[in-house]
Amino acid sequence: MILYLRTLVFSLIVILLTSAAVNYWFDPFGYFRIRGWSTSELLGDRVWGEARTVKALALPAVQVETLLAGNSRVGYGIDVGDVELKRFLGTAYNAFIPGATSDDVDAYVRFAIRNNVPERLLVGLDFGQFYLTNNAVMPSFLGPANSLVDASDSVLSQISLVLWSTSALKSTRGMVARPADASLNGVGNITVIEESNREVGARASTQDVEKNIFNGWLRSGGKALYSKRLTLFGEILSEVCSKGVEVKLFISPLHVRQLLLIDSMKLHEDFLSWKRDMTEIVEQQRKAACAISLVDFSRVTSFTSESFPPLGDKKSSLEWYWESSHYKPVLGKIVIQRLWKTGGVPQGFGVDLSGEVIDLEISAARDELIQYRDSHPELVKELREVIMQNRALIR
Amino acid sequence: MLFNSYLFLFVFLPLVLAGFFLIGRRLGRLASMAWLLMASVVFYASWEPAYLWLLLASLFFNFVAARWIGYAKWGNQAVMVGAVVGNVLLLLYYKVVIAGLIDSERGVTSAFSTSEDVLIPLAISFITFQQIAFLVDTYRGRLSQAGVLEYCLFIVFFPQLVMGPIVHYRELIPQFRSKNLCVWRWDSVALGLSIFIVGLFKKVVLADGIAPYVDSVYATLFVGQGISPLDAFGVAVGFQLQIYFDFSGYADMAVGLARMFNINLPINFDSPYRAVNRFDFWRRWHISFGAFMRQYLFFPLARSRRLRLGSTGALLVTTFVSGVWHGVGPTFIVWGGIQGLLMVMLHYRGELLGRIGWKGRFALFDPWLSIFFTFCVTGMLGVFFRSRDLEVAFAVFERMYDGILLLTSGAFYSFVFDMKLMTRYDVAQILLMAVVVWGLPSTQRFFKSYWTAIDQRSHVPQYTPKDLLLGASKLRFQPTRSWAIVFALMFFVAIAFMDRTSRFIYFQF
Repeated sequence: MILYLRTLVFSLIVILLTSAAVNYWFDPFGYFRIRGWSTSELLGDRVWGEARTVKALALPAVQVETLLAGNSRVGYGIDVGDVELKRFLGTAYNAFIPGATSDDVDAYVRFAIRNNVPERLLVGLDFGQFYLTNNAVMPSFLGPANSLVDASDSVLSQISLVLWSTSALKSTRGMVARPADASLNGVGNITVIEESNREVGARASTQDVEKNIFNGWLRSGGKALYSKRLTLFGEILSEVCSKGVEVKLFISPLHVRQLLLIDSMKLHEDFLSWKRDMTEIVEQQRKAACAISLVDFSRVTSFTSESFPPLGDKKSSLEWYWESSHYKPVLGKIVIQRLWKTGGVPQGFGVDLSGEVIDLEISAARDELIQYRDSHPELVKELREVIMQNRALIR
Repeated sequence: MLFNSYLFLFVFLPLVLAGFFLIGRRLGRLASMAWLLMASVVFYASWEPAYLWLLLASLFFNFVAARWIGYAKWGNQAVMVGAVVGNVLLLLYYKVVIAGLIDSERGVTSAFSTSEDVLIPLAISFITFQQIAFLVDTYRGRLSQAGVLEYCLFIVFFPQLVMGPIVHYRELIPQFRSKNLCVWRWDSVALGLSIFIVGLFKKVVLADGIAPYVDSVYATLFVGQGISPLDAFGVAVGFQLQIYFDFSGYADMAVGLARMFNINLPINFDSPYRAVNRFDFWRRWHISFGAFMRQYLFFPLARSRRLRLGSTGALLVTTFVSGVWHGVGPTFIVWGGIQGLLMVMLHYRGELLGRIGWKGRFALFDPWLSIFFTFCVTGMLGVFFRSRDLEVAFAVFERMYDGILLLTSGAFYSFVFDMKLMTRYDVAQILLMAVVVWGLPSTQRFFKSYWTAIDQRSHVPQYTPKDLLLGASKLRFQPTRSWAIVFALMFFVAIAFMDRTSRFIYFQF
């Protein structure tokens, strides 16, 4: 029995070390990945894990005037390197996490402000961050995301964070066990999105994304988790405000296809109710003399209703969106301009939400969508068909 | 903290195991039992510390009641009845009132939620059942003196705390009192670890592998979208396989973990999908629950002269209670009701068949045909069990009926290739699970030479058909190098698949 147990443990160590080595040394430049080969899709998962690990390592050293937080929409939509934006943001760091839930945002913001307090904090908000279960996207660390905050700044602690990252295990799993596994990351990465747009066209590409998003909407975290997240979010805002940080919150410019998708899941009322909850949290902070604002970009506007080229058209591209879930930096720039209330932003793009206007705005948002839905039956039909094929990219 | 989490596997378990044997060696058996008790309480609190007070209060209440029943000279029966009623009311409060309220608020059936959000105190059912059995056995004079430490550990011993198996005091206490309890034994650790790996593989790779498909089909129906006929059949089979591997995976992990601590727990599964009828099925599925219901509900009801229910009435009540225990919604009531009716019909099948002149016609039925029919019935009942409401269940049956119409009209290809939600991976996953269920030996038979787990059944099934995979019946565990490598591979695949910690289906029961 001793020999058996020794062999078992020894074999396990050998297998783990070998697979980890293969994981990190195979395809180091992402050559296969960006060409959409099945083996490259496996490594897509690694990119996410790595993105998070890099953030975890970088955040303690970040000393900026503006810290941005949010999910991939903020990540791929706001280019902090843009010279024009520097006028507003100053030095900035985009601490987005792909697929971030509000728990992730909480953890990363707390982690970032622990040592170096920025002048302002910009947070891109999405309903899914609060609504979806923790399992919608796996955390990059084995423990809860908050372990980041509890970790010390020592080198040892940093290394242990990297070692505890599940990314190695995840991608190895994909490599050895599920060769044709389409990763979630395949549609959350700009390189892959552009590649896909060129190969199958923007409409087919966005449909793939929407299938994935639909699967996400099936994973509700429940009311208890939602309430817990609201409370936590209020707490982090209080903490940030108490340090004298100016807070600018904005609801992402959701493309109307995404709004219709939410509507088809019978979640639009919950979405509107979430806006009300966000407004209430902001009002509470305002009462505590916090410099905070909330702007809603998710209304039906000429930007958010940009039409997609027909199926089969592989040449046309969209002006404002990568696909319906992610806006381009060119729109991100307008979002920032609107947040700073500079001139030149089309009327109606970005609505300031406050306690006084929330009822009115919710009612207007509801009417807008109903009107849009009724006047675009072909789009509703298309999305219904997309939903019916939702299994294609679930794994 | 779940068994299938990195925290448990790489931090909690090694620490508890090392502490148990080190403390046992230095300070003795009682100290290591206290360590194990503390670890079990931490394990429980790691889920929801707010309910720890309830666990401690319940332990205190039942221990005091048992002492009264065991030692007092008057009021023993009244205290026993009062304590049992108290336990049942507590269970009803959480299962019916709290869970029911939250479910209606959420609009979903929480039992099958993939969220880690626990609604009712973890393991409340299993803790309550064990304590009821303890109280009744104490009243019947079957138990020796119970110490506080032994009693608490018997209830909260972490391998069996959350989802059973339901253990009896008389099964566990002699093992706690053994002088060899804290003696490090390589064979116990090696075997325990191997059995645990089998369970982990079943849960993480097999059960969790099919879960997204099953969830997506039911979620699609929930939002009012349609599914294909193939999906209707696929989800019925898929869910049965999912719940089996989910629960039996946990049972294997529990047996394996306990074995590492030199403790033998009862088995909970014995190839249930090779059962030839409903009675046989319930002798093989969730064995400890079946034994509990039989011993503490069915027999008292059947033998009661006052109630005059007879075995048929007792059977119907038992299956009804069993259904309601799983949930108070109409789907569970229908599920329990049909189970009861089928079992009563099976009980009287000789008489029923004789009346229509068919007696003896089915005697030559091939066992595999009976197994097939039994599994089909289990799958159909599983649709009620898994569906959020009757509307969803009937939508699945409707699509099944459409599928049968397609097949009978010769449109075979339309049926097979209408894969709306099912992907080729789901097909492969279901086939793999089917091979494990019907083609390979069960955990118990695979570890036969070294198996020491307890069997609570009074009637062990006489016959289990051989494994369908050629040569699989001869597969037996041996502590050789080649098996060690196989188990290391299984463990690696399991931890690599463990990318998201998913809880067990039976957690909410």
